[in-house]
Amino acid sequence: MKKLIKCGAAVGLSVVMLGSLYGCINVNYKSDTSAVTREPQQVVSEDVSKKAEATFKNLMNKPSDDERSQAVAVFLDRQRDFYFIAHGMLNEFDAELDRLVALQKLRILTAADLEKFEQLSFQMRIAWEFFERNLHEMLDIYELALYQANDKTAEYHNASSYVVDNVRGWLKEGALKGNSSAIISLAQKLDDVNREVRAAMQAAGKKVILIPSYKTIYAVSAEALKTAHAQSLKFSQARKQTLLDSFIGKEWLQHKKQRDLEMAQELKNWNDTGRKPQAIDTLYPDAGGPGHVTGNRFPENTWAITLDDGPHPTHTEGMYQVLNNAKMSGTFFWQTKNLKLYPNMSARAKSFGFNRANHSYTHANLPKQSQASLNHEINDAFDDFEKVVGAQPTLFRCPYGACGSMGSNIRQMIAARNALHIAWNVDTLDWQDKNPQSIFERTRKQIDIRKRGIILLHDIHPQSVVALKLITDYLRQQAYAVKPLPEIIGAVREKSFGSP
Amino acid sequence: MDHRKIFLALAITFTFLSLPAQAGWKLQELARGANALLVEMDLLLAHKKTGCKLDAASVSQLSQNLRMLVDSRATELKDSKEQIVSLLKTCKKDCTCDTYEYALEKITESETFSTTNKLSAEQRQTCVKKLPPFCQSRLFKAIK
Repeated sequence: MKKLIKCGAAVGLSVVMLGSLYGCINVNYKSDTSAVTREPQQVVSEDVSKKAEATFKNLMNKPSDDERSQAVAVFLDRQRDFYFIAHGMLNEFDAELDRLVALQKLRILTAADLEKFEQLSFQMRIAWEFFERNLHEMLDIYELALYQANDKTAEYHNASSYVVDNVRGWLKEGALKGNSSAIISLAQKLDDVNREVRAAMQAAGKKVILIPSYKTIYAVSAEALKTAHAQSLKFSQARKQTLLDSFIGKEWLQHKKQRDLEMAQELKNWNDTGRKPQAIDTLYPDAGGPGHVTGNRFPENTWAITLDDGPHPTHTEGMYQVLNNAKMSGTFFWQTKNLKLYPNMSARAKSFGFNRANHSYTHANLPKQSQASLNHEINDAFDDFEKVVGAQPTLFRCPYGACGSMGSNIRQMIAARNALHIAWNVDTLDWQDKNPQSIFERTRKQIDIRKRGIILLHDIHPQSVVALKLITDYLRQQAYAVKPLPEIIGAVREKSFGSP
Repeated sequence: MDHRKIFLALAITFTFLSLPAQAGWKLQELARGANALLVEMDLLLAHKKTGCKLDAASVSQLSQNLRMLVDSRATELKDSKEQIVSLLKTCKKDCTCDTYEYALEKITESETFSTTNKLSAEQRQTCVKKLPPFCQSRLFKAIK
């Protein structure tokens, strides 16, 4: 019987996900693959636990059949209520995990989300074990009653027959309480027990007296299943806090305390080796990881605004005004070709305290260029930039973000010029959208999710200037720190980083 | 000429005729792709079901790859600005105006075009729904 309770088979929850995340929950029930050929009293399958047999005997240890059947009914009612509570909890965890998985797909899980994820996975394991235990206790008692009901000579035949006769009504009563989805699942499992007992009886050459079917409860249309699921979700949402919630909460706190202690010990051991964990974050000109900045590891609530492709005679000036009014800094990644056309824009940027960085000579698609062309797009761009600005750029961004892979020739050329390659983690998509409001909305959502990083805008489009105003207003309203990119890089690597 | 020769001649003709179409992209096709990517990103950020099931970083990268193609096509049309201007007449139907304006800005350097109404995310979604799924398109495969 218990093969149906193997990992991955219960209640239509995201068990596959759970299974893959946490492995199968170890439920101590054996498989039912061995044929059962004992006498009816002994035909009871081997995987009914000893505990269940003891419970059954205890419930039946009453003077009359009425009292016996009543004791079983009370027991099943209680187990069903527990089963509902655990089912509701699993629904809640499932919904929250869905939300976190959605964030994970966006690659925007924060440290707080990860903590929440760990908490949920821990709590879910307890709820899941509780859910399984209650389910099995019900199924075991039912199985024992079913064998008794099918054996006229059995000690508790009459009381068991009464119990089995009333299970259908008991299921319907459960559905009326609102958790239809859990009842459908339970009915299905009870029918699995029915099939097994029938097969065991037939294998033992015994006559079947009473084996009901609950197929009409669970074999329903897809539409009805959907409705049942919706009802169950509603039922879960209306659920009151129980002792189980409090128990699970306490267990988590205890686990967290232990985990933090172990982590502190690990960190102490780590520090004792003389190496600092921050060493992982060190940034320096390099063709590999240390030379590539995305903003994902910036301190929380810290942002850098970057503006590409200019300078533009009108729109770059617009950006200056917006940033200056907002008392925020910005880093301008300019094409050297444009910088030579509008050299006074560089001096203006300097007067506002904005950083100037390089974005190739003509915004060419670098991986498609010949070596001669790459020399022009990178080396000449650096040299001519210096002639206008008066200093070598230390930050470079490849046009279209295309530098080839880590360690590529392009990345090596950038590192050889002693510059970091700067990517982004919030894309406004402002080049393809003329509506400043929708650019802002898109940016705002990414800011809220990521909490830190580098925002990409372009200082050659009119809509970007208007959008920047909305973005800076929002950043100020949310009390985010907008800092010069070189300053943030310096803070991350714990060593100052200069840039014109 | 026997049938085999006729077939061979037709095959060669067809191959030559189809080559330019494979290599180049119509600006309208690219503009529709740009709109589809905006919709993809906006749905993604609203935690709604998206067409291509991409993450935000991938949409950003595809947008950059698409911009390369738009820039390249705009450069090709540098001497035929009127072609892009004529596209602007019907661009509201498929939400492609923004990309045409971008292309015009690109080839006219500093000039700014803002002839269209600003589109909302919902309007963009409506445009995308009217067209074949972008994620299954040749363009999507090319920029992925």
